[in-house]
Amino acid sequence: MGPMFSYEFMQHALVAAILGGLGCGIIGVWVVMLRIPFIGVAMSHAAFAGAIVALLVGLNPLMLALAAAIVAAAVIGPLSDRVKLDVNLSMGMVFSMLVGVAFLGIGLMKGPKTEALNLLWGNILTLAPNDLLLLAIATGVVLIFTALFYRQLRAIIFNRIIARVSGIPDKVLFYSTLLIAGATITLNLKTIGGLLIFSLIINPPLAAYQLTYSLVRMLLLSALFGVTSCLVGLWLSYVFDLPTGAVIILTSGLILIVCNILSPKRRDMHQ
Amino acid sequence: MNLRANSNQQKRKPAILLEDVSLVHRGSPILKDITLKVDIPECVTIIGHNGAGKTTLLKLICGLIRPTRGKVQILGKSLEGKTTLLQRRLAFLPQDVNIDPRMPISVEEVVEIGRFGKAWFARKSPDDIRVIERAMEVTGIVDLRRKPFGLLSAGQKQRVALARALAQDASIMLLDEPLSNLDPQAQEDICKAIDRIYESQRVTILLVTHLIEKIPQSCSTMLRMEKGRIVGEIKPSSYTYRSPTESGATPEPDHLR
Repeated sequence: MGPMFSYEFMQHALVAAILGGLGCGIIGVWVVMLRIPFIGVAMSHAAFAGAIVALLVGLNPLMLALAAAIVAAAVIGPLSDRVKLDVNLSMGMVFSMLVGVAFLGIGLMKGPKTEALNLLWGNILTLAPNDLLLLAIATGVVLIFTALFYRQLRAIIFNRIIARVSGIPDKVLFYSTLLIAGATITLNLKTIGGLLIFSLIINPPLAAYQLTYSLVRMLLLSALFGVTSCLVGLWLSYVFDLPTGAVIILTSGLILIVCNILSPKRRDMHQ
Repeated sequence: MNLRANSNQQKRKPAILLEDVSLVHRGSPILKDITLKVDIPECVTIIGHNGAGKTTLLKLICGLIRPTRGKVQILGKSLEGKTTLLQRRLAFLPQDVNIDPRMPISVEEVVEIGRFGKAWFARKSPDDIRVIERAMEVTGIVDLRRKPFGLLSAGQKQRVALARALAQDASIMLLDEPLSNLDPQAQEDICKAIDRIYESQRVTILLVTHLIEKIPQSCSTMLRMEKGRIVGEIKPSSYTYRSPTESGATPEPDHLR
């Protein structure tokens, strides 16, 4: 692996793989346990729409992508609570609107659309130090949020009504989870790409979920699987000259299949 | 209808006081002119068929829904604008909590939920540990503490739910159908656990059920609910208790008329 990491862009990619895998692995646990997997798709397309609009009007794509994801997250939670709609359905509504905005923007773009399409596919090999800083901030926020509110979040994933009547501010924490998930997904778009980030949010926690009845262990395993997927994917893509984002996701999928086969819970469910 | 407000125990503020409470949802009356007073401590059971409005009544008392008309007071204070503070004084056991059997949460962790509504950034204190241990002892689930919650039987889950409510250190416990979907032995166990909670903690318990063949012995009053109204009261002394093994099919609600 020595020569592989002698290049600066590969060193950046290594740091991004660790940060992205860790952040997505941890926030993914809350996404999976809150039964809101569609947030991966909804947020990445919100960010994508924001970035396209930014490119059209000549603003910073990342900033507008982040703003769009945050606004979408701020709309999805209250929308599902106010209209008494399943949160995945309100995500679907927001998602479909934003996909329309994104593709309208692409249609209106003059000249090559490389920068826009890069957000869809992602490229871990083109990250600048500033991108890594933002990724580190996003991962840090995920870790701090989880450490501070672990017990309250555990109560909410058990049952939101029980958490609420126990005095836990479930709405604030639920909306915060949506916001943080949105920001994490946006800041990982350049690394993994909008189309693939969904898998990195879902696969590591689902794999961890197969192996343990302890939420702490699930968080640790999910973080481990997230980082492993990114590192192994990065290495394989370098060795075999393959698209990095796709190999990262395939690696996380393979880990999920193996964990599913080895899952002790399958035996428990059949007893 | 004023069934309980005429009680001679008027000196202390009641745990629960409802005055002429009505609830209308999309033009349909769900609760009609409910007046109810439950003292501290007292164990009251409300019996009625499915759809009588029992669960709605409990949700209204714990602030999850608001009445269209009438007054709701908890421990002498109106629920208006103080929902969160007052909710911490109430422990609510909802009916039919659908939990994924593979959920990564242990029995002890479920009981702990009762302790972490107190403050932001709450951490487990020695006092929390003492209360959690006591709650598990009273409900007889100490041996189950490390087990995954999802793998328990229905009766064991209900005892864990009681322990969670108890750990909240609440003054009032609202139990929604705690005996439904349980076999006779499990019903017996839950009733005993409720009796132990009442005796040891002296909390106010309001229990709703559609099963009338098994009521906790600590229950001093039974009210009957029909079509959104409280329509009758019966003292348990006039109610012949039969253990689950003695009783066969569920008797008709006419038993209480």
